[in-house]
Order: sequence, then structure tokens, then C-alpha cells
Amino acid sequence: MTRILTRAALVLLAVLIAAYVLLPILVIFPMSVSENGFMAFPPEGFTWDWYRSLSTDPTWFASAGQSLTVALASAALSVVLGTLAALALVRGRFPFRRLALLAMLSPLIVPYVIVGLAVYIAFLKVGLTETPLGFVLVHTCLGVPYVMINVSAGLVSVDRRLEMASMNLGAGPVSTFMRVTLPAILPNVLAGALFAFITSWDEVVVAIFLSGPGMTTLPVKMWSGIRVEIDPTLAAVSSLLLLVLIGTFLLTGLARGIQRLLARRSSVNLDHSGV
Amino acid sequence: MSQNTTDSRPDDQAGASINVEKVRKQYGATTVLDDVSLDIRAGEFITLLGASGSGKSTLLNIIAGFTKADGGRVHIGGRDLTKVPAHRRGLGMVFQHYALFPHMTVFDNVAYGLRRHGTAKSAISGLVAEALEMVELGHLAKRKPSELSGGQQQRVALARAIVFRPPVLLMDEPLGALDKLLREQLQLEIRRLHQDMGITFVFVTHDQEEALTMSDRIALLQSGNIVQIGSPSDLYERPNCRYAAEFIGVSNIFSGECRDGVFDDRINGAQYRLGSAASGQALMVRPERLAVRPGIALSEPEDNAVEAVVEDCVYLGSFRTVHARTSGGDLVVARTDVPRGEDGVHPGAKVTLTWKIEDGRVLA
Repeated sequence: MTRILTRAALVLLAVLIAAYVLLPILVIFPMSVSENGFMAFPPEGFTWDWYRSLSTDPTWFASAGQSLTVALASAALSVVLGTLAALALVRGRFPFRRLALLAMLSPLIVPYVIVGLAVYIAFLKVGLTETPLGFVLVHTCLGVPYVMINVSAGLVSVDRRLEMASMNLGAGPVSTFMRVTLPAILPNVLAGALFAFITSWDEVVVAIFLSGPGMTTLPVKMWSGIRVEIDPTLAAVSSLLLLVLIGTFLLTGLARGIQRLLARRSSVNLDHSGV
Repeated sequence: MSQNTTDSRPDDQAGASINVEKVRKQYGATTVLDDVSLDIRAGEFITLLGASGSGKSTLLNIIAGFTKADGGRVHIGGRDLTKVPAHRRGLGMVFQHYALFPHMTVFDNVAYGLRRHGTAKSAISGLVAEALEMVELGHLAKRKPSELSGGQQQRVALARAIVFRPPVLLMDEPLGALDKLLREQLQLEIRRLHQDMGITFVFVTHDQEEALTMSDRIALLQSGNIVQIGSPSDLYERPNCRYAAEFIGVSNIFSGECRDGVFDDRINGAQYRLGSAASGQALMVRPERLAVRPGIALSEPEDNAVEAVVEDCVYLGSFRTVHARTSGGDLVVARTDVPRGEDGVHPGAKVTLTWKIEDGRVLA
């Protein structure tokens, strides 16, 4: 009896926490379909107008496209650099290793405002503000630590004997990394890539410094949008972004579920194999 | 003990000799290998035997090319490979805990070495099938390692190591993770593989029984030095030091001094005659060389004898062990036949332990 009560209490607590975390986000959707011309809660009536106006405004799509390009490019670069850095820091024996680690992690520690200001001043001189390249360079910097932390965790648990076996069988260091080490740490690499992508995708502080008429990423456009006009178009954009995010999570969850199902089936096969 | 035959081996020299010359390895202040030299003949089955920390695995890793020696040279098949990286040495190796690639099928695991060595695609599947047949796993080629039992995984690891016909097969405690029955079965299979292939096997283990069963020769290591090297019977019958005698098999060791062809055991107040002139502070007799006679029996002229009181008799089916305490406090173990009836050897009984003069061995 007490066990049931404890369980019920636990479930209730979980639901409450989930509501606390999610409600402020989910409030966006009702606002985006409200007939009220100002973003307001509770919503009044129901209309798709704000989505319609969004679809007729090409600047939103331009920003979204620029954000996506920057996020994809910086995630890709972060994966390459972060993985290499993790390899060096986990496997390497060189002086100032801890100092190098700290330097690599500093983008996580230094406030984005400071990074933004410093980069802005530097980039102005070389003309990199308001350019995709400038954004990619900075966001890669912010993404590398996430990849590095994830990949390091994976590398530590890789069985070195697998790599030794590969070398013993005639594969050189690079070949061994691609064929044996990388498959083993792939989940960590992908997790790092996801973090790096999201970091770039919704990064707003540094982006404000670098944005201008020449280039504006989506978060900056949203931020400046709400300062100029507070109609629910912004809520519509946010809702769409949320939808994409939820879709991604559902897809990864589904993929993982299928994987587990397949694993279980093959282990069932094993039970029948005898020997 | 098995017969360590050499006559069933193919004549063509498929194996390579290995010459380890004054190899030295240090980790910080600890000397793991202390100028070790070892000549391994082409085609022989040699076991590096030792307790953990003796340096046996380090020596194997230096031969494999995974560990860099601080000094010395390694020649394999007459070539100096000291500076050649592991992936260009072309040696086969079986690792502790198998080290199969978890994301590949059994087939791909075994084919891995062939592909890296640039074997023609058309030849690969035939060679892999042949290697899997040798370890009787042909039907499991499409499985993943996680779907195999420990014994099957070890067989795959063997197939993967021999498929490209290396001149040398290195094995690092390959049977350590298996249960006793499976281990004994695989020991015989590995010996059979050795005889079929005729290549050089270097086997690392801490299990002296395994070493005796499998090897042509055993190199016994102790804290970075080879203390004795020889055939299993050399090491068992003629250990050259107390460590070797105690590490391999069960041994009864009396302390004392050699004087004029006689070993003076002061602790037990006895004198033992020696077969040949020797010097040393210990006399060793193996349990199966001891005879147990009830009461205080006069020994035959060709025997040595010591009196003792039986503490325990253990019946083990095909034989019996008698544990007896001498007057000086030494615990002596004798291994005897099981008597048909009561033979007067039971706990508390006074007995005389005798052995032939030539069965006693003086140790330094």
C-alpha cells in the first residue's frame, strides 16, 4: 500500500516538474493562433493569420536559411576539431595538457557578452562581421567544447585492445581510428554534433554583435522583431521552431526504440541457437 | 603431462625465429624488464610464464610492437624489427578478453586482417571460411561477437589471428576468462593448431599447469628476469632455484646445508644423501616421489628418509595426498596410490617418508 502511495507521489511530482518546465514554452502556441493583434495571454478567438503573414514575409525565411547554414557548418567544423582535440587530450602525453584542456573549455566559461564584444572588435577590422564565415568561426569556437567533452567521455571507455588488435592486423593509426575507434565513439560524436548545432542555432548574444543589415540569424531577427512589433507572428515562428524540435526528438526516440527492438530479437535468436 | 612432440610438424619453415636481445623496460622507478634476452626457435611453442608483474605481458607487447623498449633489440625471422610499428610486423595476436570488433560480424572480424594486407577480394571469403572451419565455427560467420559465448569468441579471435598465415602467433592469457573445462578443451585445440600450422607460438600465462600442458619450452619470469628456460620436464624435474621449484607444481623443500655429499637437515635432525656433489641451502622433493610407510621403518640403503606425523589424508579418486608434519615443523605433502584397505596411514599416525637419492634436488 505504501509502495503504491510512494509511486503515486513520485508520478505526481514528475508531472508537476514537467509542467513547470514546459508550460512557459507551450503557452507560445495558443498565442500564435490568437485573434488579438498583440501578443497576449489568454488568447482570444482562433486564426491562422499570423502563420499566413509569416509565409508571405521572405525575410523570415532568409534568416532561417542563414541560421541553418551557419549551424550546420559550425556543427560540422566543431565535430572535426572537437574530436581531434579529445583524441589529443585523452590519448596524448604532452606538457601543459591541463592548460590546453582549460583553454579549449574556456568558451563555456567566458560570458558570451565578452566573447561577442571581443569578436566584434576583431572582426570589424578584417571585415568578417555580417558574414556567414564570421558566424561560423565564432559558433565553431562555442561548439568545440561540447563535442570535446562528449567524445572524451566516449574515448575513455574505448577498449584499447581493440585498437591494438586492429594495428596488429595491419591497419595503420588513421585506418584504425576510422574503422575501430570512430564506430565505437559514434554515439558520442553525434551527441556532440547535436549540442554544437543547437548552440549555434539558438545563440543570440554573440550573434547580436555580428548581425546587421547584411546578415541576421533567426534568433536575432526574433529578438529585434519583438522590439519593433509585438504581433503574434513571432509566436508563430516560435511554435514552428518548437514543432521542428519536438519532431527531431520523437524521431531519435523512435530510432532508439527500433534499435532496442532489433537487439532484443537477435538475442532471442541466440537462445535458440544451441551450442 | 602431454608429450611435447616435434616430429608431427611440417618440414617447410612456416614459422619465424624470434631473438630478443637485452630488452629493457622501465616505468618510472620500476624495472619491468631487466635486460632480458631470449631466443625463440622457428616453429616452437614457447610459454612466457610468471606471476602478475613479472614482465611477461610487457615482453609480449614489445615483441608485438605495442610497447617501445627502453633498450635492446628484437629480431623476428632474422630481421631487426625493433623500430618497426606494430601494423607493419605482420604477426598474429590473440588478446586477453578476445578484443573482437563489436560492430562487425564474425566474418568481417576474420576478414579484417586480410583486407588490410591487401588480399584479393575474390580470395577473402574462401580464406575466412577455411579459418573458421579450423576453429569449427563456419556456421556462425554472420553473427555479431555479442551473440557468441566466451569460448566461441575466443575461437573467432584465433581464426582472425591465423587467417593471414602469420609467421608468429602471440597469445596474451587467451584462456584466462574461460571456465576450467572449456579452458582444457581449448588448450588441446591450440596445441593441435600449432602442430597443423607449424608457425611459432608465443603464449603468455600465469597458470603453470597450462604452461606444462601446452609448451615445447617454458621461460619462467620473475620481476623482469628470466629465471629459468627449458622444456616442461626441465622446469618440473630440474628447477634451478627455489622460486622455480615453488612456482611450478607442488614442492617439498627442506632447509639445510650440503657437506661432503650429504645434505644436513638440522631442523628435522636428519641427514640425506645426495646423488651428486652439489651446493645449496635447500633440498626439494616432489610429492609423487615420496613414499609413505607407517611407523618408523628403516629405509632401504638407496633411500633417504624423514619421520613425520600425519595431519590429513585427502582422497582424490585416482590418488591420495598425505599431509604430514616433521619433528622440525615442516609440512610435507606426499602423493600416493590409494591403498586397497587400511594401510596404517591416517591422521595422527607416525610415518616415515622416503625417497630415492636421485629424486632429491638441491636448490640454491
